[in-house]
Amino acid sequence: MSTPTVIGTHVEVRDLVVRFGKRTALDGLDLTLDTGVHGLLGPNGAGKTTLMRLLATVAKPTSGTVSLLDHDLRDHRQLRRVRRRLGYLPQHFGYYPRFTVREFVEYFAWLKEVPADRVPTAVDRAIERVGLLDRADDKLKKLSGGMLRRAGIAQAIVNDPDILLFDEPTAGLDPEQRVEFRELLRAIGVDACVLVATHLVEDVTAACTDVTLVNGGRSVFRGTPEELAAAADDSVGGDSPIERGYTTVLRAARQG
Amino acid sequence: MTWHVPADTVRAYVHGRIADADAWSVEAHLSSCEQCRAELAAEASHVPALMADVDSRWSAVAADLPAQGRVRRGTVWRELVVLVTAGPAARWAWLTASLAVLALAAGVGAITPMTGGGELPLLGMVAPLVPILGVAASYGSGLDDAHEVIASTPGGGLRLLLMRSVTVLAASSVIAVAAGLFSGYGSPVPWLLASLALVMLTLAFGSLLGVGRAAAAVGGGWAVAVTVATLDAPADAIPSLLTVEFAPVWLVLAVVAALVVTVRRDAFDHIILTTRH
Ligand SMILES: Nc1ncnc2c1ncn2[C@@H]1O[C@H](COP(=O)(O)OP(=O)(O)O)[C@@H](O)[C@H]1O
Ligand SMILES: [Mg+2]
Ligand SMILES: [Zn+2]
Repeated sequence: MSTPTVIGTHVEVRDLVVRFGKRTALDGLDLTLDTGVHGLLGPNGAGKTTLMRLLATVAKPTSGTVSLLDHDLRDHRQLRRVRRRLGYLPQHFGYYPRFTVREFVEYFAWLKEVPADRVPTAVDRAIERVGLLDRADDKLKKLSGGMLRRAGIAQAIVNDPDILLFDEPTAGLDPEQRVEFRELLRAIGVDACVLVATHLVEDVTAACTDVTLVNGGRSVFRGTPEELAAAADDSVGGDSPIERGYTTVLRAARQG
Repeated sequence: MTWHVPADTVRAYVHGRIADADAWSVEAHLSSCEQCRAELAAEASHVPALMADVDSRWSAVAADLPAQGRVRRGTVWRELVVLVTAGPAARWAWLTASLAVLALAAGVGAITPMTGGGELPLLGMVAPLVPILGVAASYGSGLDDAHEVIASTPGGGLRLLLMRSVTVLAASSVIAVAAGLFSGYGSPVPWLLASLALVMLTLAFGSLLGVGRAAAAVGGGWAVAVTVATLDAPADAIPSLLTVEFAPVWLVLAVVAALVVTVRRDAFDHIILTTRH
């Protein structure tokens, strides 16, 4: 059993800049997040994946600071401590076809330094939470795309992370699985800081307590899904109020 | 959330001095509020009897859970097996390829003894390359589909790299020694030390270039050096790089490279990409 601990700010990002050669992927981004399910919404190329990779501690910024769980990531020990409390599902994720679901999730439990005596229970609990327990001993190559995605989610949550990063997590899930996934998000978001990067407006409507809209490497909107819907200009098209709000804010950002 | 359970209510709840109806509303709030759960846990941690009760109930629940499927106990040995064998799919290809290369080199070496008419001592030339390729195949980020997640874990850096390099070195040494004995090549000590040094150099350069590129650079460097040394040597002599006299140089190189790895160990905290993503 993990004892609940009071954590200060989960994610604090200040004036983040990332450049790839001449191209600027993040252009002075600020972001503060605590527990809850947060949406990171934006068109393709907006810089979502770049930000997720920084928060996952995989890459380093050109300039600016990232602080996670009030830790300084430049210090090796603090970085290790943060990584034990992280879960990450990248946008593109390869699987080991010969592994069973259980071996695959176990592998990441060890890599995340889950205490040895808790590994078997943690692995099965994670697999159970994504609804794959009946397929736990099947090889990954026998699973469908949606099931693989769920195995990927299971590895992300196996250490009961305080910060959970999902990059385009609903890709490959059918509508029913999306609904289940959002329920899982809400359950995890009670105790943890969950960040969901997506270019699909409907992902944030249903599951997120707030939305950050990024465009061109900058944050151009932060608020609840309702507030995004309220920002809609009547002249723009779109299937739902929130989609119209999204388009309105994006257009304003591009003109300004 | 604007309302939270007041501190004295939390205390009353922990000590069991609270009406049932109030307890229910406290519990309803706790199920959705991390802050109050944390305060409750802090308060409860001052009550040893309560903590002991929670622990024993938790153990009872855990002990009662049925074993499902092929659950393996969490032991240090299990950890080692999982972490070492879970490398990229390329590892089997590597093992097969290295066996084939060494068998071929030993075979050619046996047919045309190197001290006869200046033929290349193939086994000695090829053997030190095998562990370098093995390290790249078992760790190189471009080959591991899951490296992006691995790079975000505390156990995925230098520790994992060293575990796999030691395994690769041990496996390739066994293969190479066996091939050497079979072909009558002579003392394996010089090229075992060369292998060790080249692997350590791969790790040292890996802290700058990424393991994949470092393996290519060190492997290429070795191929050039050993070819030059062979052309340079008298027709009936072993190339200097593979002589017993040269062995101490390899040892020193290995130690220096190991020092570099130790000093630069933080560089393995982040992936150094060998491919564009
Ligand atoms: N490794 C990289 N090298 C060069 N350019 C990159 C790299 N990663 C991302 N970019 C560029 O940075 C911008 C933001 O990309 P990305 O973060 O993937 O956006 P999103 O996930 O929102 O679609 C894009 O213009 C993309 O081409
Ligand atoms: Mg992306
Ligand atoms: Zn509360």
